[in-house]
Amino acid sequence: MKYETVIGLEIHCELKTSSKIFCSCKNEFGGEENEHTCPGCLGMPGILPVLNEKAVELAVRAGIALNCTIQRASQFDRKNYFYADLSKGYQISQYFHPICTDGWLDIPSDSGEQKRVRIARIHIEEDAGKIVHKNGMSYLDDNRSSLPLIEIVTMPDMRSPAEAERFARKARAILKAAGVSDCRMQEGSLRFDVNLSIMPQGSTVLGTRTEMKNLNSFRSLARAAENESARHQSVLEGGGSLFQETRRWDDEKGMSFGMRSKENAQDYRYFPDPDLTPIELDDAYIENIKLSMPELPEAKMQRYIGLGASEKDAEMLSEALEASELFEGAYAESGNAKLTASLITGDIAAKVRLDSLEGIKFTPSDLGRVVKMSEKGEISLSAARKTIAEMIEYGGSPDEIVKRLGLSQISDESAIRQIVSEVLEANPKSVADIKSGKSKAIGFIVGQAMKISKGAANPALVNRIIAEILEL
Amino acid sequence: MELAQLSAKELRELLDKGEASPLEAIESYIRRIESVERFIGAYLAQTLDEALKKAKSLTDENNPNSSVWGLPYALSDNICTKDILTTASSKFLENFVPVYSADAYEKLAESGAILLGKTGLDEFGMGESGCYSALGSVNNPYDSSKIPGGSASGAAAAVASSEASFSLGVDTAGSVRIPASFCGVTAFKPTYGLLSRYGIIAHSSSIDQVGVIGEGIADCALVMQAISGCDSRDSTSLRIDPMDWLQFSSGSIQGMRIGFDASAAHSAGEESRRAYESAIQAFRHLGAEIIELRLEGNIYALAASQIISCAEASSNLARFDGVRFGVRVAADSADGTVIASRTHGFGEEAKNRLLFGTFAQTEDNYGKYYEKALKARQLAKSSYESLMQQCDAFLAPTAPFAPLGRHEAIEPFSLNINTAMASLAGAPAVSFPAGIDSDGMPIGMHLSAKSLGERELFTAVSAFQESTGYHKNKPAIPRQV
Ligand SMILES: [Zn+2]
Repeated sequence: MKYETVIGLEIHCELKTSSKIFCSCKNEFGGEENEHTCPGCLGMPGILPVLNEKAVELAVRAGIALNCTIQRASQFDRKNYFYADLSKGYQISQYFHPICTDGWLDIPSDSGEQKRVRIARIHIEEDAGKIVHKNGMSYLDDNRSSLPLIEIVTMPDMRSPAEAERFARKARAILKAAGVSDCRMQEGSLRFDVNLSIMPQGSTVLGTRTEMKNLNSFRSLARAAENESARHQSVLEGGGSLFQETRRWDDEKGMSFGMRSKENAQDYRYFPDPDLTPIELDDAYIENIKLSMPELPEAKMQRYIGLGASEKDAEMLSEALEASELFEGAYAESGNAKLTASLITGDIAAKVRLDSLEGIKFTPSDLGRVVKMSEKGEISLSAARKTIAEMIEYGGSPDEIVKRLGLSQISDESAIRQIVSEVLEANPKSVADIKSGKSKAIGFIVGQAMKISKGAANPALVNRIIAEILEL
Repeated sequence: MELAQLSAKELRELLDKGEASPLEAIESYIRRIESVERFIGAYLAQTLDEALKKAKSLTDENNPNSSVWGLPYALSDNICTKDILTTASSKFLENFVPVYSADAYEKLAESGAILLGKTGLDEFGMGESGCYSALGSVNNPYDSSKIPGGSASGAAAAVASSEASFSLGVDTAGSVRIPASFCGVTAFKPTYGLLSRYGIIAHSSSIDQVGVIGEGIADCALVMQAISGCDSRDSTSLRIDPMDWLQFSSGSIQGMRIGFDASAAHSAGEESRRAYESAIQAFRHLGAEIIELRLEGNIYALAASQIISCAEASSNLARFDGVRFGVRVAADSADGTVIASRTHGFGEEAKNRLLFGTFAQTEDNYGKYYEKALKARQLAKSSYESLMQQCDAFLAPTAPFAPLGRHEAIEPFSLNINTAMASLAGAPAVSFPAGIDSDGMPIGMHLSAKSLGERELFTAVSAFQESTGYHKNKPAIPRQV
């Protein structure tokens, strides 16, 4: 039997605020253990939560970016469970009345056309601390305790691990562009839970669902989903039956393990948190945020295409915030969108991740300068590439690199005429071939001329001068 | 004359005139504590050395303007005091020294009031009898064989036995009013949100409110003048203009409508019923218009307050899991350690309530109990509000029966039948002395008003106390038989 995989995602995304959600401790990755803590986020008795309004603003931005309805009234609830990393013995979350509902995001489906993935809700919650195991002991680090998070919950609208990954990537690009989060996967500021079931192709009845929690890369998201889908299929085909459970994905072993089944499922005893008053938003507040929204990837892509970038390049750039910033800066200098874009998505992307551009040692205008030199014929395209490679590796100003590596293109006609004449004299056979109509031989002459000029001759000029001398 | 025998207001007047110094006041209270505390057990810990030090430094200051300057006082031990042990009468916090102070304590300290110590209570404020402290029990100053009432038993007993000029406790469904009634002192529970809950070890967050205990309502007014005001550290703190509390405790009640319901004293016994009638008479003589009303919904309010307070407590006290605070009983798994620690760390009454509260909130029971309790709370609130449209203040006996013997069984929560309603409605209420019964035990009356109706409340109780003087009655310690 052919099966169809059904996937819903929960995306946990840390908000880019300067302080924690219910106290004034810094929201900062790293630092000494428990450096960013206070009686509030340590769960000491008597301290009350005071809501960081920036977190609300960012959650609303996420809601707008993901086409949600922003609720005029929402409320915090307590999620009660015992776990050592949970300082108060409950997590403040939104259960009954989340801040955003009913959104959607379009992604390319596996069959190529656009498909709409519905977003059930986005709610605000606080993160838990971290348990650190060292020397046979367990320690608590509460730097992360009470950091602001949003959880984005989709409907089970994805039909393959690839679609799930596409959704996750697109959502990440949007959240970053909207300024909601840094989305640094390696720092855990974006984590995924996958809800997955399979059903016979064409069926509309969903199968038994399992959940895999805390996947922190696109790769593990896709692998875990592939693996789980295959596991479901083999259980069913082996005549077994699935049960609803939460599983832990082990990325190293490449397999998942059962954690707890529905029967032992936690009862979180949600109830409205009496320490916090409801969040009430008026139309003016929401309108203001709408007006101040940064440009989102979709609009950015259209604009780049309008500037002259290829569709593919425009898409790649618009989905990586750092690359789009590099592009905009470089384009302002170069004025050539097509070449600027293709150098970023080609030469630069080959060396550095576009969604972080980590460690690059040049400025956007440095890149623009290179494109401009190439555009004006001061350097060849291949020289431009060499310059960029040099800039990525060591930094330095483009003019200085071009000079140091002798990449300046010879556009002096008399110098080139001299070289061309020498080559023609040395290769009478080729000259005869050209004259008899074998135009391929022109390429050979050009090649020889470039070789003598060490690649610095302007190839367009070389061609023209050959034609002039041979009166073609 | 011993300064400790004075009310806060009387002492404050002497301090103001320069006829007594804060140091003399503290020394008098220290003598008093030394002579009677062993019969009462109001304090879990005393801070007398610091009190002396502070009194000396205050004596040098001129023109102290605050309403509580130089007044020696006590705090219930669920109110956090920086660098001073704060136990909430629980083994879990037996060694807990907070690094922060409750808003009320900060304000008192800044105003020049002098802390004498921390008083005992039912563990985490869970109890009405005053018998459920894990760290030492409190006796009723009128008769040590009787219960003092709870949960803020020590705070009421300290004032009743002249071991503090005033005290603060935390009222949930009657936690300062019940012990005030049983110990013969005046207790005021403000409108919810009027006092900050910052630094109060939470029992039931949606109901908890700091309460003030003094000899009379005029003493409570002095304290409110110093501690009320909005606090940005408490999201439920009311954003309203400050009130002038000192104005509230004077003035006429001519024409004020005071409601009563004869059935409110039905179960209270003959003597309490008579005290109720005589209190009604007293108000009538003072010029109030007395209106007979039917109090409805208090039975639902009582049930709702039980469910809500236990459910909120089960969440508020989840942090005591053997990981971060106090008691840890190691077991061979993480879950096992949580279970063993909580089994060992909480007292019986606390465990009963936490189990009950947890039960009421499970997925299966939420609709059956918790959600219904929230609805009942709304009903109680609206029936209270409609009651308050017919009168300016409503009078009832504070407790449904006289203080029981220490070993008599009490139906859980039954003491709160007349106090829970104002709590759920977030409305202000006062318990004040209204006579002594034939056993020599005090009888308390309960007057409540609409939310932010403190002016009416204070004016009425003040007029009553000026005319009757019941609040001036003092127990003989130890009891003379
Ligand atoms: Zn903090």
